[in-house]
Amino acid sequence: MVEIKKIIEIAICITLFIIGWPALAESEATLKVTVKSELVAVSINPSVLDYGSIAFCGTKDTTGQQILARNDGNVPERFEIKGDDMYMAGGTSVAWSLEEDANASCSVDKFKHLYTIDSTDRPLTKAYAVFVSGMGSSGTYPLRLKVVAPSAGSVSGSLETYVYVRATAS
Amino acid sequence: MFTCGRQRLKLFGFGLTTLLFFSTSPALASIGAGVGIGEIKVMERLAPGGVYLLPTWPVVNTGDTKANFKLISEGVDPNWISFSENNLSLEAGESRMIKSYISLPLTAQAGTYNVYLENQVVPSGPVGIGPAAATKLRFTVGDGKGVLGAATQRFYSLYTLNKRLILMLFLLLDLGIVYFIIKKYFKVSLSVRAKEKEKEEKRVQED
Repeated sequence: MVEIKKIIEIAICITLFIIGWPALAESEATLKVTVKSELVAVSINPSVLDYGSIAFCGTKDTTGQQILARNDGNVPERFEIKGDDMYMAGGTSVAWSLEEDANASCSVDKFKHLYTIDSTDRPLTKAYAVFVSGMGSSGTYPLRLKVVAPSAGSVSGSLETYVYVRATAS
Repeated sequence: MFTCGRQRLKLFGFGLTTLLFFSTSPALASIGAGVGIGEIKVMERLAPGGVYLLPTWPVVNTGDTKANFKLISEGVDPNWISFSENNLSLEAGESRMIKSYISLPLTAQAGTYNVYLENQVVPSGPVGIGPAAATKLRFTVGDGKGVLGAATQRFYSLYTLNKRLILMLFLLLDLGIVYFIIKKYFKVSLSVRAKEKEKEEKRVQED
């Protein structure tokens, strides 16, 4: 009886070694993939804007400020842009929501944020939209933004919003 | 919210026509984001329930100032893609290698998925513009073999990805078993004695 127990214990020990040992030889498993090693990068200058004070239903734009999106990568790139809601300064509570319809007139607690391509204003949406394709390495694109305030708002004071510019390989 | 606004307007009358909207000065520094891989195409069909390690992904700060970055995915349920770090701070010109994983749920639908793995600067207001650079990821999920098959795939994937840890556990278990066997079936005694004492004992025995 003792002999059988001994044999079983030794067998368990050997089995555990057999299962565990291959792990020592193999590294972490990775997928079969094809990869394009290239630098895709974009920089924005300046990265913070100032519209100043604005009246209800009033409009302000960045005509006086030169905003440049630059291809810092080594391949042609596609630039996309999206907007966001307006937040209370330093917080996460939404003060005004982003109006995504270009034709909508100014309304309560909704603001429009527009970008200009070929002299046409287009509304920023919460999904990315392409605004330039095939931008060569070191190439720049001047970005012009415009904001339209709500007709009335339940909040006043300093507010914050964000614009995202994404680069991908063309 | 709307009512509150109307009350406020009534209180202050028509004098309240402007808002202090954006107040700080624009930052003149250039901020930038980059990734070192333009595209990743997975050449094999992935199985529902599987967890897969993608090639290490370099992210870089191409701006001329320190910035905070967040790593996000777009195109599929965010729970499908995970990163070794989700938030990081990089000095100007600094880069970091990031591990990323695809974790398919047991009920993942078959099909081809196009995803963006995005390195995005966390913008700061009043109107912050956050640059982001993205790697295109394309993969295909094959037909599942039922929930049991997907669960088996999940177990296999976790074993494959954590082999070293599992090995360590096995080795510890082995050591425990070996100790148990030796303790139970063998008697090992160790003793330490001074050499002089040993010689003296031998001399006594010889006499």
